[in-house]
Amino acid sequence: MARKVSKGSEGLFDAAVCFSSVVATLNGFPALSGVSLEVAPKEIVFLRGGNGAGKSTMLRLCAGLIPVHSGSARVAGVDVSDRSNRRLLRSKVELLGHELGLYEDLSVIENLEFWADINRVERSSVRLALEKVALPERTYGLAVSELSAGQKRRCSLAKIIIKRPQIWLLDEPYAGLDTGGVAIVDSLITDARHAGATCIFTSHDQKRGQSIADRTVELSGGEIVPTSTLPAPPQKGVINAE
Amino acid sequence: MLSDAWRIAVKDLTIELRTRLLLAQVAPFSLIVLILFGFAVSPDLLVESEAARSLITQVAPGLFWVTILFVCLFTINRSFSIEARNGAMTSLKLSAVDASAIYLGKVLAAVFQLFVLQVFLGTVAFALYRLPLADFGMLFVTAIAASVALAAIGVLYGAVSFGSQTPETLNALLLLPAVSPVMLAATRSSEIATFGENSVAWGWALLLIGMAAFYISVGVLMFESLLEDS
Repeated sequence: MARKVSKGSEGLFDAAVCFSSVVATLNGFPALSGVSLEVAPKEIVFLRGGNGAGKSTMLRLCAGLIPVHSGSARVAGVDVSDRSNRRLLRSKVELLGHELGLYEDLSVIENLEFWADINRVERSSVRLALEKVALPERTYGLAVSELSAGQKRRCSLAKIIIKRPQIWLLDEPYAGLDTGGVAIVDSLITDARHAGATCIFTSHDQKRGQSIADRTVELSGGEIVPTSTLPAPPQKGVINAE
Repeated sequence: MLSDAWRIAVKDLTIELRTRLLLAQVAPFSLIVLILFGFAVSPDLLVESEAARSLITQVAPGLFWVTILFVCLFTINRSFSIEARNGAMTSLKLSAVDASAIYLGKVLAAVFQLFVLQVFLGTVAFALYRLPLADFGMLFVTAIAASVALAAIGVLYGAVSFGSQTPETLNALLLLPAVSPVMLAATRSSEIATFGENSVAWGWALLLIGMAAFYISVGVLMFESLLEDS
């Protein structure tokens, strides 16, 4: 069973993410060294830290792309350490990483329709997603290789909107985006929360990250900096998980 | 699962049609290899000499299948390089699609490409080496079964080498020994289909069909764990 997270007078509920002394290794190197963290449903968590702090590793572990070496980890109620659960876990999460997961030689529409098809989502959601990320209609038929870096990122964000996962894992979602794109990411994250999703994201823009997040968690050397878990701002109905 | 496999195959073939790697690079390359092999074995390839013709006809099926093996390497490497670019394979892993559907889709796309190249190169080989044709049906079955077996093994080893620093080299290193039985059976079956030496008739062709079925089964069962560990 997932651990229960206290939510004040509203009772108890399953944590969206529950890590207990999680160790993850990359080529034998402990990229995460005993991380314990709980994230409540609908919570927006900003992961910050320097290069190599373990932020991307943590997101990839949440997506079931990296095995748990030791400790226990549950994401969206799924035991991550049991590798037979990978498919179930991955149906509930989506990761926007540094690599955008797009086929350069296919058009924007072809990429997203393929994505919708393999995720058993109606193709009609593709155009709605593209409108949400404000990608100009004239780009729909263009090969992804012909798009600018910012347009590619918007296209990749559209994939998450199409899949509608329970847990959004965004690794540097603002990278390469203009002011309008940054605002779109913010609105997508808050919309996702209203739709019941949980979001964990990283960014080197600390001001931006903290402005939208309920809570900031700092990683350093693969560990959570103990004093970094900031209390939730009460006006956002933040859940203090620890 | 089969509909997902079909979607993945269509996606791979669409990318292939857009980039035209098969037509613009692999086909001319394999054609040059086929011609050079011919000249290496018999410098009098184009001369109407009975001795030269006798030698080339003896080794022609083997030369043809070695050329197809090169094509197979290109096809498999290409199939995985499009997934490596931009982290597309990670996206596939995160989708609802089953790993065995990814495997079957990639095999299907590779079989189609291998078969197209076999038709093209086979036509050239028959004309260039002036070969007879005793049993078209057996040759057709051999081409299909060998394509499936080569693609099935190739995609499986493609998953093993995927994510390594030098996937193309590693794939060649792993694939060449693994396809030896397929190469042997395909060559012998082609010889029988070409020259009509029917001492074992369809034996080699049936063996190829068996190999294709075996490797497809192994691939469906093992692809996920190989892909996750790569």
